[in-house]
Amino acid sequence: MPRERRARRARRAPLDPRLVREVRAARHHVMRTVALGLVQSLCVIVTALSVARLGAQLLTEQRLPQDAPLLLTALLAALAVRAGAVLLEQRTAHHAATAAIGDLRGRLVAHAAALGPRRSAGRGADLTSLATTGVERLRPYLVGYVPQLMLSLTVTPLCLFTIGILDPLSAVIALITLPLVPLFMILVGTMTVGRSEALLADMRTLWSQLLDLVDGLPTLRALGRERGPEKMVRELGDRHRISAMGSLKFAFLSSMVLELLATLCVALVAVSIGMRLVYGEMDLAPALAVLVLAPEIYLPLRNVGSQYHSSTDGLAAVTAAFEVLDEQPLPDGSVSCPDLSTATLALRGVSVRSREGHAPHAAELVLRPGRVLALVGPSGAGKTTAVQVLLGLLEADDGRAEVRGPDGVVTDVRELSRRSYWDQVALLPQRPVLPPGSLRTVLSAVRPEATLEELEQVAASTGLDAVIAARGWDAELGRAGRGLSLGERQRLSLARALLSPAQLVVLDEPTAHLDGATETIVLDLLRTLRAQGRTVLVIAHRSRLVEVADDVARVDSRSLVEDRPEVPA
Amino acid sequence: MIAALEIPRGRLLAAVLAACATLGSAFALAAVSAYLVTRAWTMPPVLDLTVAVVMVRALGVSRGVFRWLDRMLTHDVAFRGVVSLRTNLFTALAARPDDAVTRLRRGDLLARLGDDAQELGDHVIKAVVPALVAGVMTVVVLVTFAPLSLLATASMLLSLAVASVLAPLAGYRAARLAEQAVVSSRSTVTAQALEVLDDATSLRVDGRLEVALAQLDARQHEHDSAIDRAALPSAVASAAVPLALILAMAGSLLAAGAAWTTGGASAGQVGVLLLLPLSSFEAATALPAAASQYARSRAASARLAELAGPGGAPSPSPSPTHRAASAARPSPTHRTARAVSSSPPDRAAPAEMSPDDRSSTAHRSSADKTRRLAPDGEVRLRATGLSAGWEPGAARVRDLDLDLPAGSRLAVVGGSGSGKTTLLATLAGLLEPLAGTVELEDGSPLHPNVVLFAEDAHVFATTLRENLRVVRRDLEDDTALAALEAVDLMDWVRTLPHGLDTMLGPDGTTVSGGERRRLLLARAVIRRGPVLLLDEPTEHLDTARGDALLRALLDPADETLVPATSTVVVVTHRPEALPEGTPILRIGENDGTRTQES
Repeated sequence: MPRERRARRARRAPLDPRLVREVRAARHHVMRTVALGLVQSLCVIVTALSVARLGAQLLTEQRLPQDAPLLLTALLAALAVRAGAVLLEQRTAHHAATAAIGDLRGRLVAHAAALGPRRSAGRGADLTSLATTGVERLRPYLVGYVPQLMLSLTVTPLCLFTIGILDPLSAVIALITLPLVPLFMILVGTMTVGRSEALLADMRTLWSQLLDLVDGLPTLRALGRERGPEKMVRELGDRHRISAMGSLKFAFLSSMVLELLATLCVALVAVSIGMRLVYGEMDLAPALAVLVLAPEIYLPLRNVGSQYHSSTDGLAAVTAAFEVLDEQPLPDGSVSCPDLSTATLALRGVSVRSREGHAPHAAELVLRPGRVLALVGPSGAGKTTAVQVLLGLLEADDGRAEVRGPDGVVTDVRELSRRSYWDQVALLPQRPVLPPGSLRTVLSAVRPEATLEELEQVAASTGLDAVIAARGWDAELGRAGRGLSLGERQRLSLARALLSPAQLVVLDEPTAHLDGATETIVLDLLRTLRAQGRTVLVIAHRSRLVEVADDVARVDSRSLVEDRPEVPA
Repeated sequence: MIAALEIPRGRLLAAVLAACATLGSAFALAAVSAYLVTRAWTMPPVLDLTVAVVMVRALGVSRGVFRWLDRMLTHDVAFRGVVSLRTNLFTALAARPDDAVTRLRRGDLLARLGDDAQELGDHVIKAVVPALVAGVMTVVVLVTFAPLSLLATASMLLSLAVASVLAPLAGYRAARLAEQAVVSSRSTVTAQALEVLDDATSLRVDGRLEVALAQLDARQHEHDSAIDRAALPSAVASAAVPLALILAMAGSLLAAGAAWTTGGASAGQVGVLLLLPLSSFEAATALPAAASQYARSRAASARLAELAGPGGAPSPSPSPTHRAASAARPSPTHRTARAVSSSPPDRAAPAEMSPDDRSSTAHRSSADKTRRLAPDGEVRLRATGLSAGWEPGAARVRDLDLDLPAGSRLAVVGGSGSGKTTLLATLAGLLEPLAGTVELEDGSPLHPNVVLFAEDAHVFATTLRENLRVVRRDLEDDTALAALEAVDLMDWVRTLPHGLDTMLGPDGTTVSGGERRRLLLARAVIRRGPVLLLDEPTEHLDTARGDALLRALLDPADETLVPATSTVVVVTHRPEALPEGTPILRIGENDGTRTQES
């Protein structure tokens, strides 16, 4: 519901003020299109006046166009300048769109990263598609819609003004028909708003059903049920077509009104001029000029109308982007983090709101230096979330994460300078995240002064040696999905954690995607880390990891689903 | 591929005619009003102007009406084409005997049948109709000028040629350059952006975020310079019509002067010569967009042809499908019927999708079923010299012999990425073996006797009940609830607001990893086929619960999940949780495979 409201609000302002204010490329683009719009307006007016003058001279004085070289030159020059202005405008519009898209994408990604894991709880998928394909919608908006909008703000009034000077009556006709455009648009809009919104909703439902079915084809095939659904595909497609046509029926009404008023205005002007010419109440030259200018009043409006969709899509993307940019990230603290080899970390009654309730709910844990703590709990209990709170990546809705120094001073994790804290932490997420490079550079990046023997030693104790034997130290990692397999990447991450000087090692379900042999490696790794006096926090699903741990902390979620009364959203 | 749109010619013709009438109205309005004004200047009797006045007024109205008609007809044709195309593609894909569907990357199917099919619909709206209309309008313009002046006609011909050739060529080039930029560098930008977004947490903790963002910036710059190469041709395409206008105006002015001074034309005709060139290029204005659409639809069409397989374009579906579809065309009554039969209404119900649901065809298909399904408890699955893998020369599993008599159990274990999933897909007949054979001893087909329950199987955005009916359409609630109980999901079902009728998926109740896994397992329990292949059915479950389910699956004496007569193959990471005596197939060790008793 709020989304719908937002969309409608966005529809009111055809140019997002924040886009103009905050994105330099967009601001320059708007200023340039205004200037070029003025140039084009002048060209249109000069064209009309010179054609009219040339025509009138020809008809009344038998004077050939080539005998009036000044006028002829003015006409051809105006046409040429107009072509040049269009060329320049479109060319710069593309460059501006490219720059604006890159700018917004960079800011979105940087800001989303700074916002931390919280945002992914709300709209992870949304943000991903916004930052990748969503911002690309700015191109048709900036290249197609904005220039036409600026033309309607320059060409339309200037042509109207010129007509008013040449023939006030024609200007009056245009002035009467022009306000009918918004009037009829609103009328058509209110007449159809309920119906077309229902149809649009229907259309979206049918579309998502269709895509869902298509997405499920491999599953249907695996289940031996692939024959038959094609009927459903056709049926859903036909129903989608019918409901889409139903809503287009109304959508096209507004374009019909626009076209109707545009041509009607020209027709009325032509008839009125014609009638006055018959009775000798008007000169030929202004009559011809007005006839040329009359369609130009409506042309930019019609183009704006036909670019309507690129405007709504572009504006929706802009609005969504600024909504993300408006969210405030957690502020960094200023207190330097105590040495974690002597300090104790703790969660005190930490609860974080989830979609269904709290996950975790009132989590308690104490992580003493040099000990291995296993964090257990059923699926969806909020184990990863609890760790994120402990690391100061996420703010708890209730309770707090704290660090107690050897001197007994307790500091809230939020007040710590994150860099001083995280420099003492090696984090291994479920899916290993590795920088690009070769096996050797990626491994030694965590401790550049490490000798080859040290590298070989950690490789041997994490099973990475087998990978090195098969691929060599200089094998490039490549991007995810290419190069190393998931298991191989996992071993490399374990080796990095072992080699890194970080005091606190956090492992998020290190055995989720591994087989028994690798599980043993992880268990050995935990023992090695403890022997080195390091502190380990391991999120554990498997009982064998728990057996190795010195302490076990449990987190649980609390679901609010049962006791929440059913309230229609 | 355009042929697969099965565009009805009559409807297309109607759409083109309506569009021609729209542009023709504007063109005629310009011509008649120019004639009216200059003729009026000669002060003829007012009655002489009546026809022109009436025509101007009528044309003032007709354009709007024709525009509406033209938009409606064109979109209708395009939508019909897309529906046919999508259905044909779906049918072609489902019927492809090879493993094309299995090889598709997740999301590819959506992109092809969603976006690419839509792109071909846009091809009709933005390329086919405007191009045909531009052709017709060129003839109309030339025919209008021809009786007035040959010089004017020649200059119009030349300028229309410039506009209709230069503009689309430039537009096509711009679209190709943009497409190339998207193919070459946008994916790296997207990949980098996704990497930062997905891994933001660990990048920040590791202190590598700034580096990653700088990398994104660099990739974006590469992409920017690639895509900006399309700016100039695209601008040239837009400027082509104003450019052509110079030539048209100059020729027409000279022609008007000559015609008037030699007395070869009336005042009205001179007026037409003077003013009409300004209104003669409307059809050509749409051509750059048509050309860039053509470039996009060609690319989409190539992707679709690849998807449809070596047969090229999917064969237009035979008329029975058409008839069935029109019989099922939604009408208010039809919708109500759906609402009654499956609540909540308006949801795709995968289990209802089989033709067997229609009572009229039930007889035929049940006969069909007995032919295809091997009788329970008599199948023996045999693999001989089997090598499995995704690419030739990169076999994940090599030279495997398997003999699974009815009712046998097998656990497949092996390191990550050792090819366990690949093996299951091959055993199920979804992926073609690189070498060797997989067959059922009595010669019945693998499909549908061997059923794979994949790790990443789709949970349809429909009710829980329909998600279970995917495997058995005559499923009764008791059976469904018993299966949910057997996989330990009843606690979850009780928390659902509408029980079996609860909607799952993005718009409904979110299903967690563990719940999803057990839901997929419940499908297998309900399916009860002769051979069931399960890929990590207990992953994401806590140890105790997962191990119990694993034991129930693999213990031949335990019939809570699967009947003793069914053959069950399970891929698992927990060999230590297997019941005593379960045969284990270890793959990926010593580059070979071996079986042992646990």
